[in-house]
Amino acid sequence: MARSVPPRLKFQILPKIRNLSTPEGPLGRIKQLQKLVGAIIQYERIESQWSRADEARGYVERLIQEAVQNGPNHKPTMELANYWLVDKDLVHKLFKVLVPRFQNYTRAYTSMFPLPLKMPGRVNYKAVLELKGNAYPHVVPHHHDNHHTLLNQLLSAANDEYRQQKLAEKLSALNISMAQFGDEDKATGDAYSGAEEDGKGRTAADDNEEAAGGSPDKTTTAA
Amino acid sequence: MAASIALARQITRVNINNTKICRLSTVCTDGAFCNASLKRYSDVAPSRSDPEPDVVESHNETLSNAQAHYRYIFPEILPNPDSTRRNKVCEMLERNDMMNRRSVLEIPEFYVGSILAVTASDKYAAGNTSRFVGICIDRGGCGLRAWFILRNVIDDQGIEIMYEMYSPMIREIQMLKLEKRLDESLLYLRDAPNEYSTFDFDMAEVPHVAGDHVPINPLKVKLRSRPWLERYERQDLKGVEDLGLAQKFYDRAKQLATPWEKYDIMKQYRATVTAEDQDEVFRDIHEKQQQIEQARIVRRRRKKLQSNR
Amino acid sequence: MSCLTLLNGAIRNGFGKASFSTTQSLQQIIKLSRLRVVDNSALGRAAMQSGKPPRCIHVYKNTGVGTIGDKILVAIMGQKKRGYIIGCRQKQAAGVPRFDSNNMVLVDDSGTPLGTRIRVPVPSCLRGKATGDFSKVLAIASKFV
Repeated sequence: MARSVPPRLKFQILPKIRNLSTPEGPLGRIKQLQKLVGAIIQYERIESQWSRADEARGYVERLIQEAVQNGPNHKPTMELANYWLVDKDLVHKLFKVLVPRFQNYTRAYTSMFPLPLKMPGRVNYKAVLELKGNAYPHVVPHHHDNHHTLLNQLLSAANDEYRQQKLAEKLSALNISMAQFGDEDKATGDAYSGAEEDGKGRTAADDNEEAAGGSPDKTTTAA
Repeated sequence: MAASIALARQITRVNINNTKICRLSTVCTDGAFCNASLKRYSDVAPSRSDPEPDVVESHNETLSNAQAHYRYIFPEILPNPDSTRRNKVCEMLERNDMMNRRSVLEIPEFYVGSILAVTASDKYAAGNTSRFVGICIDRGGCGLRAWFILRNVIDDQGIEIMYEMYSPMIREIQMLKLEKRLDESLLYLRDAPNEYSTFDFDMAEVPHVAGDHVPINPLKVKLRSRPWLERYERQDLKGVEDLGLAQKFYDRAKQLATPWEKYDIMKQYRATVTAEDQDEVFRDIHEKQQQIEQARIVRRRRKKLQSNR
Repeated sequence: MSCLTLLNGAIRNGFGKASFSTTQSLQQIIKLSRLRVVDNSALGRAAMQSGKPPRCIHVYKNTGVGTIGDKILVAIMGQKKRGYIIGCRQKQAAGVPRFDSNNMVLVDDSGTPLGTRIRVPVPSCLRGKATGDFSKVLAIASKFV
């Protein structure tokens, strides 16, 4: 149909088409794919069997590729869109909404994610197939690392300071100076065992602190 | 070639489409699967003389105009689109061999419907060569296995010879008439009267200026009466006159027709070499091709000067 | 061939697919293949004009499949005669001509051809088989392809 040389699809495809066996044979396969393609264009995120979604993915990508490359005034492309999108509103959406969205994309226009298997039960691989840039929240939630925000950096610095202060207080109570920890030659077995005992167990002082309302290091980091 | 095949077989990790596939790569050694799997060139790569210029060549913006024509001039330079048969090293080696052969033997641009004269080595013939003139009824294959079939009728006997383009047995391929027909394959000439396939061995070369549009011969062939070798009513033939069959044949053809294949963009995608891969191939051979074309111009000029004397 | 398509049609299942596979037409010259006599022998000409072309009844080869240059035994006009295949409809190797008809020349028991001239082109690879009987056949060939 499309006689120009297609650019490479930006995702892996199987070397052969899937037969997607239906009572109507090859025509039934095309009709099934038409439904899937229409659904993706309409809803922008669909759940389906993995094989069907994977098969439809190629068609959606190629359709959008042709639309982006040639535009609506190119007769063969319009014929192609007309064929694959049974609902004519979707043809309008393809050229007026999706083409501007994907105009400068260098990567794939769609994403596909596997869904978890419902066990126990029959193994039925399902997938989510979506167009990129859709309005829904992300399928895979984005991990937000807030460790490097100013507030959290200040809090973690304050925590460190507090811990060091507490350690110094405990050591001074046992008449051990900080300098001994830095000097391996001078350190005695007692010093190390003493420190371990201190580090492990919860002293009465700690219990008192908790009762009082907690120390700075027990507050949660700001989200 | 044997050495390059052996080298390809040793390679166990191949980068195809940016994924590492750990398997032994094998080279297709027979032309049979190529014929079956490779579509007619014109299905995917129209010639320079297409009447409806509906092709948007946006992927070729990065290539020069010269390179954009390569997929019409020698479509066999492109690898087999079947992704299970792709092997970059093999392809590179084959391309090298092909360009080396082309620098020695001039293989003209031709299409199905063109009339060629092939001089091949033949130890049993006088002068150790034999010349055959015929119309190209079919071509196919990729890489060094590219082939074409010439047909002629001599003394009321229809004869076809299949030639492998890059075979060292071929001494000369002369273009007698460069033209296209309305169909990508002229196998129906076997069921046509002999007049359609008869070409004089001494026919004069019809001059064609390089860079001109390839003319399309709009001839419509009137087939002999049935029985035929193929069911032509089931094929979308444009270069054949009305078959004159009973309606039941056309009804059955309609039942068996697959009109959805026209829109099956993924099937078409899998049968084509992508734009990026094509550009890579053409960039690779561009320099060598320029040298070959330059040498050809010099040779032609020299010939012209000699003939003028 | 028509019998086969009938069988194919009868054994179709619900999806309209045949239950057994068939190969392409191989165009081999085997027992009962009909051939075209291309020399100017009286017997050959009579057979071709009568509408009853010679039928191969034996191929002098271990495989039983005849190609260019093979000797065969044919039943022609109620007689048994030997002959050589000099043109094949079968798909050939590169450079070897493929003919539109299965051509043969008739030869008597001593190996002398019955005709005096072969009116169609003959593949030049036959010159490689110029052993004894065959050289007499090549002698009457007029054109090589």
